[in-house]
Order: sequence, then C-alpha cells, then structure tokens
Amino acid sequence: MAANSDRERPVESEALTLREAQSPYKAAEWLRLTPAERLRRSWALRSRLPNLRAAHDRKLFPKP
Amino acid sequence: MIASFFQSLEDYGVEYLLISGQATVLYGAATFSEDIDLWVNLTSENRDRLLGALRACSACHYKLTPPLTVEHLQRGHGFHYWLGRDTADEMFLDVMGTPPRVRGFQDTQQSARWMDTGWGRLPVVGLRDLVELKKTQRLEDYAIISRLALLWFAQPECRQQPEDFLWAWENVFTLSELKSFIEQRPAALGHVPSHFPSTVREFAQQAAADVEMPDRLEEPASRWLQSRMARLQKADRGYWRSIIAELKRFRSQGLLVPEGQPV
Repeated sequence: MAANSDRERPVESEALTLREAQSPYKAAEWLRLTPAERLRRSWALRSRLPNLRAAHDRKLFPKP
Repeated sequence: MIASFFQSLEDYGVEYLLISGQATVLYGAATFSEDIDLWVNLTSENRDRLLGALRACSACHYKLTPPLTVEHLQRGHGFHYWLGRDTADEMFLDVMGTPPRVRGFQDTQQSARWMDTGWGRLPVVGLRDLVELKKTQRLEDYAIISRLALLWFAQPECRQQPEDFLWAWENVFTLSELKSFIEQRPAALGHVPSHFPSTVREFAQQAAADVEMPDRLEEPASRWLQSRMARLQKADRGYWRSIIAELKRFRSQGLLVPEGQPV
C-alpha cells in the first residue's frame, strides 16, 4: 500500500466555515487540508444532524 | 468511540479496507459522510476477528442484517451495526465481504493507501477501486466520482500517461467537472476516448478556449453525460436485485438478526 502523498501539499491550520465545508463543494479550500483534517471536520459535522439515524436510513434503505 | 473502534479492529487483527463515504472524504472528493463502511476479507478467521472487535465495542445489529457468515459475505450481503447506541457517540457501521464492481479483497488491498488520521493509521481502498464502488443508484455519487477522477492525477500511482487520461474521461459525469478537467489538465484534450460524441469533444475544445459555451453544445453534452449515469444506475439496480430478493426471503423466514441484538 502507498503512504500519503506529499504532492497533495496539505495544511492543517486554516479553518473552514460550515458553509464552506458543506455545500457547494469548494475544492481548493478542502484539498488544502490533510486527509486527517478533512476526516475530522467531516465527522464533526455529524453533530449538526438533527436525526443521525434517519439520515443514515434514508441513504442506506431508500424508499422505492 | 470511533477511534476505539478502529483500535479494536487493529487489536483483533481484522483485515479490512475503509471504503465509500469516509474514503471519499479522505481523498478530498466529498465533505461529509455520516457512517462507516468497511470491506472485510471474507475468510472465516477474519470473520471471527471482526466479531471479536465488534463485541469488544458492544456493537448491536441494526436493520436488515443476516447472520455474519462467510456464505452471506460471499453472496454480497451488507451487514449493519450500531455502536454507542443512544449515546452522543452513536455511529452506524456497514460491512461487506463482496462489494460490487471490484476485484477480490487481496488484489484490491495491493492498491490501497495507508492514511494517517485521528482514528489511527487506516487502510483506505485505492482511488480507482473507490470510483467503481461509488457507481451506485444515488445520483449524488456521480459528482463525487467525477471529482475522484480529477484527483487521480494527484495520486502517487498516477503516471500521467494516456491511459490515465482515458480512464479519467470515462469517469467524469458532470459538465462542471469536465470543464475543470480541461482547465487543470489541458493535455486531456489529446486523449478524448474515440467513442465520445462530437458534441462532447467540441464542448471540451470550447472549454479549453475559455469562451462562452453555446447551448447547442451544452445541452447535448449534458444529456449524453446523464445517459451514461443512467446506464450505470440501471446496472447497479440489476446487481442488487437478487441480493435484495434473498434478503426479503430471509426476512419472511425470520432469518434476519433482530435489530438491537448484541453481536
């Protein structure tokens, strides 16, 4: 397996607002972060969901 | 909860790859996914290791989950678990042993990436395998695939050869990402697949010239991209048909594990 690439040139420190982190997708800002920082921010957004279980079910078990 | 879960996978020696939503976040093609998806090697020993790791985290079964047997893993079923139930750390875990459209586990493992995260050092499915996994029925996955196709050129495995450009062309599904592809990789114009329609070729040339896009190109190019997505969505529906039928049979025969039952 390959390790993280230095070619991604990530930075850890710059903060994104919620609007920037969600939608529309802002490639330039998001890609400047390390994979670890992207994962951390994404996971933190779960707390903003009013009903995590319902969101999960909508994706996994869509109504026909 | 999440870091201790991945630590538990490591402690028990589970062979797995992180796939789907969180993998797309790590590569930078998506900004959010609410759950964890794992592809596990489908040996009986690995199944036992996974069960040990799940029990160590007090995992419960979630909806529509058959017993975690090697046979069910081989037949393509998904297994759904609930960790930290009704707590602030609640999380949902989906496990597969035979996901669609990809090679076997060991072959795929060869092209996986180890990524350092706050949850530990995780084995993440390779970008091109991830693209195949994301060719689902969900329309929103095709924008993510398109971003992954462009991100391929930033990966250490990418050699910037004609084959890389041809692969990327085949996996760009939105006009906006097609424009970005041309802007970021002008060399792509020299490698448009021969079966692409003339309107898409002309669209790409106009995008390279950075001129206003005429409707006579934008509309047919958009329709063609949508038709490609529709074919893949249909193929995914076909893939799941027999698995869902079997799942319904399991349910009618009372063979599914009750929701909430501890692993």
